[in-house]
Amino acid sequence: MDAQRKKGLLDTCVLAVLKCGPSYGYELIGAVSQCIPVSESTLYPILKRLEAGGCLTTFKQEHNGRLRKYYQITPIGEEKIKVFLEEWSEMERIYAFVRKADEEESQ
Amino acid sequence: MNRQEFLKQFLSALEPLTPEERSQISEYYEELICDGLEEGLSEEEVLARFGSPEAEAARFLEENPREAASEPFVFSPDGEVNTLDCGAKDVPIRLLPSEGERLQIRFEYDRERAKVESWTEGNVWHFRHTPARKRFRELFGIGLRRGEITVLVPREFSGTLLLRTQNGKISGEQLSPLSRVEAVTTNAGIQFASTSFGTLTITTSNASVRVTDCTGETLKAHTSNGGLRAQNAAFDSQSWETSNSSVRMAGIRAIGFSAATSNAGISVSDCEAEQLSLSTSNGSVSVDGVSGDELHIATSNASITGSVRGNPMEYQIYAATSNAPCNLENSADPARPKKLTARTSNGKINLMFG
Repeated sequence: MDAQRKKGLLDTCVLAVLKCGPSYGYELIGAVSQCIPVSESTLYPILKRLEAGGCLTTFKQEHNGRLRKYYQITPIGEEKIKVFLEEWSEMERIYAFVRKADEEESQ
Repeated sequence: MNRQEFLKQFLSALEPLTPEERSQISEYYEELICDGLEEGLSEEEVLARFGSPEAEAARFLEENPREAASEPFVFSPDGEVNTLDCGAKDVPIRLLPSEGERLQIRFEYDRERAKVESWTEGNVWHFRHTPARKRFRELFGIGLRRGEITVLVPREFSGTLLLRTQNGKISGEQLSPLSRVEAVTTNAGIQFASTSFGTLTITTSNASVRVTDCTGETLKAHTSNGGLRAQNAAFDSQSWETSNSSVRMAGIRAIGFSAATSNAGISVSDCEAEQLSLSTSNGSVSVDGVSGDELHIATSNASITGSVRGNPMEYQIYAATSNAPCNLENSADPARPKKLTARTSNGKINLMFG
């Protein structure tokens, strides 16, 4: 898949995981990888970008004697998911259009 | 390899990093490693995911490209700042006026030989230059490529410049008004010209200080074994100090002015100061056209000569020397509004009023 497009989709996947509740680095990597494989180095800029855009905030919580950083979604982040899902119906139309043209051509 | 070693090599392969970037990335990876360990994996298994520190660093740099890396020797702060805190070593610092919008530092350096960090905290831009330990050849100045830190100061910038280096001169001229400049170095001269300041503080050693055509509220200059030179310096409060070197000033306007040295002469001409104090030892003091309400001149084993603008009757005079003539008549008359003190030994005192 195109790198730029993948970037945007990964952002949305991370937000989708966070919509279910706050999470931390390791858990996020595992959860998102259920859908698209994502590595530590890939997740880092995604989290930075989402935070800079106001889509998530962070907090630290004590866990087994250390402070673990958690990420949680914000209303702006939830809005991003909403917009993505709305755009999807348009995507479906365009997909159907291209698919039809492709099938017709091969007939 | 244990995780400390991995992180150390990983971060080192990512250099240069600002301290902020370094701590953020370090924290992020440390946490991931800890979480992995908690899952029951051994440290080797956790680290195996990354391959070598260099490999992970390469992947990281690919996913996190550096911004504005096109000009590696040009540095700027993040956003608006009102203060530059520049620390360097063994390089000179030069301030230049610029037509640009932002403060900028240009500094060519060899990554093998020095480390440069640039980061912004609030309104303060921090810039640090740290040279690596000198190799044997460099100790003798062989094969050195001397860089110079050039600070480009835009017209609109009127904040604070804190400049610190060692063994390198600091200079600036024709800059727009700056509220505070602090220039500190060692073994090298400091000079400023054609600029107005709120406060200018100069500190060096074994080298001279030169201020030309500058104005401001407060000036403090301190050096040792180096001359003090001022030409047209108008600061409300001026305090100049050196040792074993001469003081030469012309065109001084001040409310309070003091210049002190030792074992060398002082010569001041065209100086107007409400309070003036010149002190040295074993060196002559020559004043030419000085005026003030309180004038203190002190030296030893040398003469005090020159001219004072004013009428001798306005001054309470205390003049003393030994083994030499003195042309002044002492007077402790409290009705006289001004004071003149001239003290030396083994040297003549000859001050004319006019």
